[in-house]
Amino acid sequence: MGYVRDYAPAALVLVMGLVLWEAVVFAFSIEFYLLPAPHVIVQSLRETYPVLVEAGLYTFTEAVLGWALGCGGGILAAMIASRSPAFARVVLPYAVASASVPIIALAPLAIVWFGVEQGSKIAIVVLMTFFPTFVSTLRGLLSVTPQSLELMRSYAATERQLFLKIRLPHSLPMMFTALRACATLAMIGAVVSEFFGGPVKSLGVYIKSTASLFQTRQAWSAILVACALGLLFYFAVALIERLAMPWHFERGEH
Amino acid sequence: MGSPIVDLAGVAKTFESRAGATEALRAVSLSVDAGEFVSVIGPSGCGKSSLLRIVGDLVEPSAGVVRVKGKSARQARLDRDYGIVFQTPVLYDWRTVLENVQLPLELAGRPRAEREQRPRTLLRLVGLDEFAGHYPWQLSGGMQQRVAIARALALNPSILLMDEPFGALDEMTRERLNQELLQVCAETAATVLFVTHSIAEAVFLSTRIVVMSPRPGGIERVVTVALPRPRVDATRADPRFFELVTTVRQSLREDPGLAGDRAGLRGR
Amino acid sequence: MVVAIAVVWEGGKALFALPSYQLPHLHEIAADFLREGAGGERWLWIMAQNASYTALESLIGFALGGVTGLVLAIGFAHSRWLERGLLPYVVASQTVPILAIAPMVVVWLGTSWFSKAVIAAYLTFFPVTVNMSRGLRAVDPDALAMMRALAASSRQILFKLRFPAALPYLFTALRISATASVIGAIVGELPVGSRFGMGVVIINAAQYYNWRPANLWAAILVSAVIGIVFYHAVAAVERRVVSWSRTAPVV
Ligand SMILES: Nc1ncnc2c1ncn2[C@@H]1O[C@H](COP(=O)(O)OP(=O)(O)OP(=O)(O)O)[C@@H](O)[C@H]1O
Ligand SMILES: [Mg+2]
Repeated sequence: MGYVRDYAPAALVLVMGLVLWEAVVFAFSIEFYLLPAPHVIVQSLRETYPVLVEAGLYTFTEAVLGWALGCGGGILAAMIASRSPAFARVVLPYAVASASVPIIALAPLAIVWFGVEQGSKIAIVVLMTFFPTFVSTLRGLLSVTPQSLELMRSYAATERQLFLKIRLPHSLPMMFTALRACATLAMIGAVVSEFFGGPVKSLGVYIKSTASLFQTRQAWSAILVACALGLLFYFAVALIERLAMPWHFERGEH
Repeated sequence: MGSPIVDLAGVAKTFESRAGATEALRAVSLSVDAGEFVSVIGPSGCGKSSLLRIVGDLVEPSAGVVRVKGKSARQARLDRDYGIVFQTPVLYDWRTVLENVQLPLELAGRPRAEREQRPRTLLRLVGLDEFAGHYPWQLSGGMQQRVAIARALALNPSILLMDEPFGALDEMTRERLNQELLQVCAETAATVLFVTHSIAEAVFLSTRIVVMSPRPGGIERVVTVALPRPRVDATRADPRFFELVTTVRQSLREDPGLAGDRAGLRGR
Repeated sequence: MVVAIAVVWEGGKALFALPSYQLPHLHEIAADFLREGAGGERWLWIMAQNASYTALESLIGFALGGVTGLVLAIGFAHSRWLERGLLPYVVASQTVPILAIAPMVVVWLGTSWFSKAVIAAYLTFFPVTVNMSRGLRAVDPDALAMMRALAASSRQILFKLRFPAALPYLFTALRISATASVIGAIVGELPVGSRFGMGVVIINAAQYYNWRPANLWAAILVSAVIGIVFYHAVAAVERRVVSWSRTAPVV
């Protein structure tokens, strides 16, 4: 019953949205190059999927590799920085302020440094995901309560034990929040970096070039693929999160 | 009874901060024998917590000598002679009740068999064996505090340091846990240093009560509680109980911080 | 800080013997601003014009998206059904590479400033909606009960209680959105046909990189400055408005 009440409105909106979309396109006989009807997009998806799958995998690989390197680097850097809370407090404001830099604008430079192929896109995704992960993980590692630290001291716990048994598990919820957000960010970063220039077989270039040629249905089906891959990535990370922190979800807060 | 378990001689503590220096403790000397239950009572900010922290080597004294079981406090901490309970339980979300109690045993690298057995025994002792598999947030405040007590006992510490462990609990739960605590102490033969704001609690639990004076903190008076043990519900109705409560209260006379507690006592 | 960056920059260049093609000298970048462009104007002036164009697009988009997000959030706070029907999509769309549709928006709305502002608005309104509706619901239940006891109308509750309580959440979102709106505007300028803005400057500079590498660096520097100024402007307003807030919500 709860399920129906929680999800029925959303499902209803989806169905209504699709019907409305079809109806509007049909009723006002909107040109397909402006807004193709859903069934046309699905049809185009069926026709072009070999190209889309190749382009999708190409771009997805960039996103996943960049995410893994950026987030991995962010976590590692946070772990190192957390060893000296004084140092951490100095760098934290700068890392937070890095959110104000439109990193994506560096894409053309990345091409100069790492080539027009996947390397440059991965570099951008690494840059985009590194700082949010670093900031969240570091905050998580440092937000252990003073009483908790006193308790560990009274048990003569070593630094290593304190880190492995208290700081690390304590930081997991914040770390995973960042990892999830970065999964989305990674897909966006990969596609948009390709808007600045990339090989033809990439999703971003495909979207940009088909759109500029008014091949709208192809563009939309490519966007759909990008969305699907983005969601897939997000939920894959969310699944890992559930497996890594069963205690967090039994509570039923999420 | 041989040499004292805890021996403080001329202990002083001054906190230096940007706002200036705060003299929290001045010239505190105190000996606690094995098996004693010593309560520390005094107005807010008189240095009770600081005293406990100094004994547990969580802060360094500015002056004076602390000997615990004939060793330095630091050595006693490294030997894991302490069990600590704070006002809040400080349990870990990602560990079940059982795993929370196991933590000190893991940290001390105790053998597996002990890590399995000991926590279960302790949970039975505090009446929570049925909740071993629960997560802390599934327990009430009083139950969480009992888990914290079980955890403090995990390494069979010779000294139990408790800083207002029942301060956040309601009167009924508090009285029940007082009773349980005495039982647990009797079974484990631990020596207890216990900070509280409740005169009645102090009288009920203790063999001696240390009354502290504020600013800077020092020992105003030590009241010996010669009530018979074991203490039971009837103890609270004993005329000598009331006499002791009055004695302690008079020692605390000038203190406005305990007014609320007086009102609570009148009702009983 | 600035000195530290300069030292690392020039030090790195010297240490790894990086050619100007990969990493120009700082003075080369500075000199680029003084160089004359094709039209005889100095690049400082060209950059300033394009930068203000992009900044204006972002600002309009930011305002548009902010208001839309606010209205949606208040609607959600009022109607559970509206919230259940729409919020999942607002949240799900955060997990979707929305910037990917930027080229399509340009197809619909043309290459004028308006399409860029719409993209910027699109990026702005998501965080605002999500955070604001979270904030409106995060009211202390006791405070709510007290307002009810005082027979406050739901309108009064909204403006006197829920709204102030949600402000810290709102500003967290606005800070994120400030940079996002600049990114949205720049990305909106990338598709073929656009004529003004930092996105166009960047694309052009990238094409002529082999001849004038410093130009691209300068363009990126200017874009970064727009984002940073925007972000810190919002942060400054935040400090004034919600100075009473004890705990900044982490989102
Ligand atoms: N870490 C610290 N830094 C600076 N001053 C401190 C610190 N800890 C305690 N103090 C000061 O030392 C004095 C005694 O503090 P303490 O916490 O020991 O009091 P208390 O008797 O436990 O009070 P309460 O009953 O309120 O818990 C206070 O004036 C307090 O401000
Ligand atoms: Mg205290």
